[in-house]
Amino acid sequence: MHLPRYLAMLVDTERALADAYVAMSAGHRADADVTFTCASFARQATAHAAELAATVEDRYPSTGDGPDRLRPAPFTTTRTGAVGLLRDLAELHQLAVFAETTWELVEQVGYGLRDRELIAIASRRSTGLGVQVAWMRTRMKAEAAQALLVAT
Amino acid sequence: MVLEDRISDIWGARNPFASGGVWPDRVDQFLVDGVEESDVETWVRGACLLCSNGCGLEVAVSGGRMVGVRGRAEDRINHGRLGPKGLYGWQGEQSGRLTTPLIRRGGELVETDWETAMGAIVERSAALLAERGPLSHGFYTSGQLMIEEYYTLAVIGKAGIGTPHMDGNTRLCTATASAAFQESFGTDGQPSSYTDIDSCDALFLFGHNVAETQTVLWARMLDRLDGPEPPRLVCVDPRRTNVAERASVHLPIRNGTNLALMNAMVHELIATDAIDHDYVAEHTAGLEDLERLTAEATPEWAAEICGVPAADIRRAVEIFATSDRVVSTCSMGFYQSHQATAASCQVNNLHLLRGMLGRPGAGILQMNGQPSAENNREAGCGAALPGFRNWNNPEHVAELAELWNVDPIVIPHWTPPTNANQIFRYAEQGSIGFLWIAGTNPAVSMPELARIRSILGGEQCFVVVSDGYLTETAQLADVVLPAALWAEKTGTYTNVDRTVHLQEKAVDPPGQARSDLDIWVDYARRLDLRDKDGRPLPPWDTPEAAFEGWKACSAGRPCDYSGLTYAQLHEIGGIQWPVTTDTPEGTERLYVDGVFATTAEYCETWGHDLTTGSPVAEADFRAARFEGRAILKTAPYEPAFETPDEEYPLRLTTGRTVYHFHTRTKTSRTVQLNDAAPEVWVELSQPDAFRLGISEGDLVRVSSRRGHIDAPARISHVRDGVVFAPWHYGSQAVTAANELTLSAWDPVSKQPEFKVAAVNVRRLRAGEGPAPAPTITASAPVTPLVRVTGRER
Repeated sequence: MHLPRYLAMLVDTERALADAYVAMSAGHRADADVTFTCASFARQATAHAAELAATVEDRYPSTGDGPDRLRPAPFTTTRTGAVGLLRDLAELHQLAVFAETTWELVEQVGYGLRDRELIAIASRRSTGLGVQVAWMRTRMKAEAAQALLVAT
Repeated sequence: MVLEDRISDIWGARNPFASGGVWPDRVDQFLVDGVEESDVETWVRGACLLCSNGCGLEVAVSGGRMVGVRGRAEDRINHGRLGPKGLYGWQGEQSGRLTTPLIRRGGELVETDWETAMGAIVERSAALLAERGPLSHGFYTSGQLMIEEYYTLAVIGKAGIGTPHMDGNTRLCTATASAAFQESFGTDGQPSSYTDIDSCDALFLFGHNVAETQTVLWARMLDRLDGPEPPRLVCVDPRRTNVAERASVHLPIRNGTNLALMNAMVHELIATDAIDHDYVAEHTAGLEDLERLTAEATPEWAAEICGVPAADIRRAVEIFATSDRVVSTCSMGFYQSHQATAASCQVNNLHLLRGMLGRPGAGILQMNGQPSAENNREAGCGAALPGFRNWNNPEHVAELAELWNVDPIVIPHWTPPTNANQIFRYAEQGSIGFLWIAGTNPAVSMPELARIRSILGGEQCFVVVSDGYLTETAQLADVVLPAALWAEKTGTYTNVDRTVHLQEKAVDPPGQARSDLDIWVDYARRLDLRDKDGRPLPPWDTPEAAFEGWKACSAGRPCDYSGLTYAQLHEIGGIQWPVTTDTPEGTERLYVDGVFATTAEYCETWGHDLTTGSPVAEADFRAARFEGRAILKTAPYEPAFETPDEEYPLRLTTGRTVYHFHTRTKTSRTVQLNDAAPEVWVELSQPDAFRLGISEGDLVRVSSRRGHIDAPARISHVRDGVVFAPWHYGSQAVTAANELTLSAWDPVSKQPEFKVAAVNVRRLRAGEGPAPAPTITASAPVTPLVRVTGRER
């Protein structure tokens, strides 16, 4: 069964996402909504990573490494300026969508396993990530025209 | 006729009346010293413009000058009464005015003429439009102009230039009222009427110190409270306000915890099965989600967060549940906070769950802060399309394009409308290179002032300010235009409960000052803005013609003015919109049939996720098939953006005092008002003061991560752990409360957080007597003052 390694990768992804949110929050302080929203998202990602890690350790311990090629690149530095914000949001969006999709798959697998606890965690988290992804799309759309047409 | 001191007797004599009665008339009048009634040459009709209440009045004119005012007995809002600011505040227009345009030369503002000033503005504006397009332009306006002016600028900005960067300072005061209405009912628009106070049997005031912010409305409530069958009163406020002192239940919750309380109140209403099942089934959608989101929010849970007894929360809910006619008001305590829209939606939800809407005595009043905030919202001068149209609905955009005879692609509907916070961010970055600020003073009223000053004073953005005074903001501008003020021009404005008033011109503006309408039409003509057929945009140049234009734009929308005329407003005084051929005398209440504005064709928005502000997709809105049902929405409670810690252990909240309006441009120039509250102070609770070694009147320093202010301390009845500072006093950075506040806002309404910032307080030195704070309001001292200062009147 490959699920344990896949779940280990998801724990890593959530941690990477939490780090990315922390970096966004710290790197875009002049954009207060980005700072505070990402700080809130970081708390959620950290909590979910911990919750999943506990479940994984308890129920699906992994013996080897996760699938390396699927492991997301770390996102710890941010860009500056309006275009920088737009590109950072786009990168963050990519990572969050990857996490969201992975959780959706884990939820599906949970059904296959008839593991109600895993289903519940995955369902809650993919919904939560859906909200975060929607926010990023909204924020990018609010920024795009200004950044690409008139930003200095 | 009552001639008395409205400084010491803020609310005037009581005229108690019973439930269902008519509020008795009491005409208040003030004439300046040496002027008798017989000296008054004309009484010119209008309404007060110094709070959102909109009291009908007449201006006394003699020798071409304003010499006094009196309330209009026949006006539905005030029945003749006027508050302290209404009686005295107009005098502030008679000194310290701008009388000529100013232009920055060699770093200094110098006097110039209109031709030079407008020439400089248009040269910069035209060059930027040619080089970088409409996104280089921003307009930041007011809640104190007139419909005619707002709509004129809306047409210039949205049909002529085509910029999405338009907002009002209504973002700071009333954006949440609008957002909560849109989320709950599908569109902006106050559902209820002040007359509901006349017959309610319970009054809930959520974050609304009405006794100081709308004194005449409080007089109406007091006359019910002192009459037969008084309503029960519930007050949610961390300060012991005059409202709290009259309350059956006072919930002095920690500032920043509104949503925890509201989720618990809704939880308890559902848990005790106090909901009107028929009304909910027929007229609402979303009960399941609401139940789920409030399932864990027990009164005990909220009591811990809010710092009030669970029993008091239960008692408040019991009053709501056992009353037949409840009126709730909601104001800045809820609006200027981090989960503003969700908390305000929960006020709407309480009423929906109990079927308390659309009938006499049962209603919601989501308040406004400013006298014409409503008009900025409805005329589309801010971050919305005119007439509460949905910028995401191509049909609505097409209607405007036809009305204005422009290509729909010019109308900025292809990106979300930009809120004030973001406008200033773009100005900071220089992508907005031309910012026009009219009738507002962001250098005092915005959060984190050091940053605002740097934005306005920098080279990256050309700043135009039109105002009556050389405000803190105007001092930083590149061009300053002298504007006519209240009663120096004709036009209409609309108060909290949709009551429209016509203010007629009483006197000429001073010097070369011109109305904002004239200024903007001049700007449009110089830019040569035209419609598809080459006709000038806007096509009007007088107030009455602008009003006719607005009537056409509003027709068929919730805020329908199509049946109103200046003549009717002159004769009757206040009239509530919608006014159409079917309802020529106006409309007292909306949603009397329980049918809301949530059809896709009619609504102003598809709605938002209340946690993040992400918009609901059109497809999801349509799939939900609300079809006229109100939407029950909330979000889980989250702590404020900035909460106390070891370094900054106290919670700052900012607010107002009864004697001042906003940044005091008028009220500091009015001797009666200024004497009553001449300088800044801060309020501390007795336990906090004791712990910090601070006595009444000691000079203290309040510091946050962003700055500090120095002020005498008033030991008041504010909640332990909370520091209150009035935000009016911006003439020096060291007294401006917004030096301390942080840049952060509610995700849906984008209204800034002014009610929580983490601060510390330390004593600097002994004071010279008691703090210069009023003593008969929420700022009252805990112990009687030992030294008489004259302010105890």
